[in-house]
Amino acid sequence: MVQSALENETSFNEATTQDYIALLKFRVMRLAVFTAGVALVIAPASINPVVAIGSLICIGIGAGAAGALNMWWDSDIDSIMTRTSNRPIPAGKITCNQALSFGLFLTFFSVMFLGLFANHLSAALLAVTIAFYILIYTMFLKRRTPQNIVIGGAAGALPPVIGWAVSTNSIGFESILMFFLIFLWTPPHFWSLCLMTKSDYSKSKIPMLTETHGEEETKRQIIVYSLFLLVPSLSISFTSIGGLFYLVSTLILNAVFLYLAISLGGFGRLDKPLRKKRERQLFLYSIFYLFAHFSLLMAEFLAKFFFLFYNDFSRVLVWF
Amino acid sequence: MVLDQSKDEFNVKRRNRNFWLAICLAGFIVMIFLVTIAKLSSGGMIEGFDHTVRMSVYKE
Repeated sequence: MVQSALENETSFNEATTQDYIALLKFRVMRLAVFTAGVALVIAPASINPVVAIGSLICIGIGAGAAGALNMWWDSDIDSIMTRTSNRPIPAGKITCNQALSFGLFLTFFSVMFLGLFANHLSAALLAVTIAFYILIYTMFLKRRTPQNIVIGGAAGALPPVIGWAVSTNSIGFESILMFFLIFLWTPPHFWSLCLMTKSDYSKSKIPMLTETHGEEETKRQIIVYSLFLLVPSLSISFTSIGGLFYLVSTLILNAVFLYLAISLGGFGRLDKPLRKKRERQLFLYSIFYLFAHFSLLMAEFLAKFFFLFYNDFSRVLVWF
Repeated sequence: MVLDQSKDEFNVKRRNRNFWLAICLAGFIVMIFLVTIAKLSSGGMIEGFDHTVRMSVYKE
């Protein structure tokens, strides 16, 4: 009896720390913290660095909570898809209830402490982001419409708005442009991933555009969205956070994005190895594209900061 | 023998998880402390309304 009970206990697949970290979707979390961090720094307001770091940790935990709740709800389809079959729930490391409680706890924790550290507006925005990602995208849109990623992309686009709100306690025009930059970037990024892993989505019966409208339409939509991307990225150049350096760089980044999108879908039929190569190139470049945009905004801010510092410093020297 | 091995593995995993949980809790305490110090040093109004009418809670 005791032996049998002990065997049952020890045969249980105990979760490790890495499994809980995997539940947080670390890559998505990293992107949310990075974009929110850049917006927080470049916003036209000063914030205590300790409060800024505390707020960014809360935003990261909030993004992780959304990832855990997403894995809880999608555990049935995650086990079908090759790409997601080794996630902690389908792998049997963490149970659905554990993931749900973990996600809910982190949601309340992150929203409450962001409200205490920064302000109520940023906490409310974080709560809206998590709610939108889980209730609207994961539970409603994802399994119903091929526009899932287009509308659901709003959740992933909100972190810069939260970062801006942490710093300024307001939603600025610049943060809305950053929102639209990520919002319009999400569809071509995800569709290029879908083109690479399309068999996965057909197995799980998720109505991705590649399944419902075919590859050619998806490629056409990627071109359309890569054109749309020009609007927010060029608009940012003419605001207080942009500048000439950003304008020139964004033109190059958008031209390459458009070239890769057109070379995938616009030059007639490609043979399979070349098509696979182009899909992979576009997917990897889309990751670089967003990273480069926010890095450029940061670089533009630092350049202005040091220029002002240098000017003030030279004025001090003249005075002496 | 196999049972002992799997029990050891179970304990190692649990110990490792508890260690990282302790690190997170310690980090949380440090973070609360630092943010409290930062907020107190910023010189802002920290006195809240506690259902007692007094001039200091009203803006001029």
